[in-house]
Amino acid sequence: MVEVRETELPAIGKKFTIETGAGETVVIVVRLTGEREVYRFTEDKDIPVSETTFTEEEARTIGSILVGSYFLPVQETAVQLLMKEMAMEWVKVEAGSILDNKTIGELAIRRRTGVSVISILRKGKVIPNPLPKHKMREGDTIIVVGTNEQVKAFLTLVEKPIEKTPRKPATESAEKSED
Amino acid sequence: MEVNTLIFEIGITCFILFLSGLLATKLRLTLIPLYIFTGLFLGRFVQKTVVTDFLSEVGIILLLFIIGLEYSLGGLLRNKHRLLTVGLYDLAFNLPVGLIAGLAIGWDIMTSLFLSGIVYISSSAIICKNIIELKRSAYPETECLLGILVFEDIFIAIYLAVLSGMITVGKLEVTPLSLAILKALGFCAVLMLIGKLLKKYLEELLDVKSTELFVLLMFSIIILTASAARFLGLSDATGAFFAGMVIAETRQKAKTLELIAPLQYITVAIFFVSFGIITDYSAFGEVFWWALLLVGVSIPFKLLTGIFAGRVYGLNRRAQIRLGLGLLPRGEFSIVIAAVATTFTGGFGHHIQALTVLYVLILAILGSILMRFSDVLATAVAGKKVTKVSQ
Repeated sequence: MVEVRETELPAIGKKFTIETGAGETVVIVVRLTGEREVYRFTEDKDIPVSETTFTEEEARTIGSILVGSYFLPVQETAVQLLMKEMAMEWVKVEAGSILDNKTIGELAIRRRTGVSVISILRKGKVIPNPLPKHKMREGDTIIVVGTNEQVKAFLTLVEKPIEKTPRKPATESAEKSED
Repeated sequence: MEVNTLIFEIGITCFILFLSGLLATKLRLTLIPLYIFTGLFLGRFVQKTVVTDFLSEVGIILLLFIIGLEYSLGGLLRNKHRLLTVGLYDLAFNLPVGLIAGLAIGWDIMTSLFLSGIVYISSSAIICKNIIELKRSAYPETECLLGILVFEDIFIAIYLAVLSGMITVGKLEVTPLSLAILKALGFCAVLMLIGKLLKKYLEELLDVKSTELFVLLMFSIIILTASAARFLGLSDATGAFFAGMVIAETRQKAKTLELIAPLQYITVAIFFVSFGIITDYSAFGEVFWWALLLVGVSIPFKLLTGIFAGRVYGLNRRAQIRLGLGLLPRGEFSIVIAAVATTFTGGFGHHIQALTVLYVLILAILGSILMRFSDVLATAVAGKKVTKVSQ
């Protein structure tokens, strides 16, 4: 157990003194204003060899690194990995699209392309996790998730009628996902 | 028309204060000497008015309230024995200096007793600011230094009450001393008891959601406590100081500090400026050598305090010297005492003002400079070798 000596510094804050195993003294002053001053004393116990000051936020971050509970970087790599392998696509249902007036089940979207429809946006409202019986209508935006290949397959499926009409709804939505 | 000029003058004053404050921050100087300089300078053009008088009165009250508010007794009482010892060393070395000097100048005993307080009290505002800016809070002497400041502030609040009590009771007579002490201590005891026994009700009263209403309530508590002290013939500054110490023990301490501080910034600045304005600088020539002598005498006594008080805290010689140098700056409280002395005694007013202004200006600046170099100075005097170790 490391001994921590706590001292009151009126009008300044609280002082915590710790002797390390290496014979150094570390003093941490938590100011009333929230800043943390950290001092390191080596041979001279009355003049520090170095000093630095952290804001409250910096102190919290550094503190969590020191106790080993700083998991944020791990999460970030996981998210990056996820983003590399997976894609999400917003597709607007245009008039004449094969999606128009069909249910998810009728089109067998997942079986044919592999993507899952995770949401339908209709007139500013969100329908999360729609069921196969949900009908898609002109003006809806549907959100699909899958691997890059699956999403590409889905876009090809949707674009089929576009070969007849010169409209390209998928291009617009592809740009959106790159944002 | 009159009112317009007045408002304009206050606006200009605050703006000039802002500019000089900006300069002070650039030069890393403390604000108090600059405020006084500004007042001295403005004294050539403007005069004090009912409004500035009122604002500076509120300024003294809020200043002392905030000083009281920043101390929490709970943490201090753990070390009360050491604190008391170093406080008494400081008192024994430094309180007599001003009294003897005052009598030597030829002032009456009351005015000399006021001078005693002016010379005794180090500036907690300037010293705390220096500690933070010079990154000294982890130095071993800092705990002792702050302890002495707390002792001084509490002592001087009571001392001021006793002095003003003596004047109102008799006409500058020392005989009602015991009565004045009794009144002052009684007042503090009652306030502290209210803070302790009625804490639950006080917390309930202070638990106001609306910020506006909270400020109004707090302001009225401060001013009413100050007037109660004044009513008893004590100084209103003392009342405000103890009100601050009581509020410091409640849950609303941080909120109070945050909301009252802006009011305090303005009124305290005006207090220092108007003190500069009313100071008759034609008297500077007369008191100049006295001020210099007083500075010369008070430095060694604070250094002595550092050595003796440092021993109590087990500090090495180097830290003892730094402690003594750290105690040198004088500031806000000395000016407050001089202002109180002026309202109560009158006759010697000009001289005590001029002397205090010079004394404070010299020690606020010189003291801060010496504190900045106390590292180098202490090492030069005590040598590099460190024998005793204490953190």
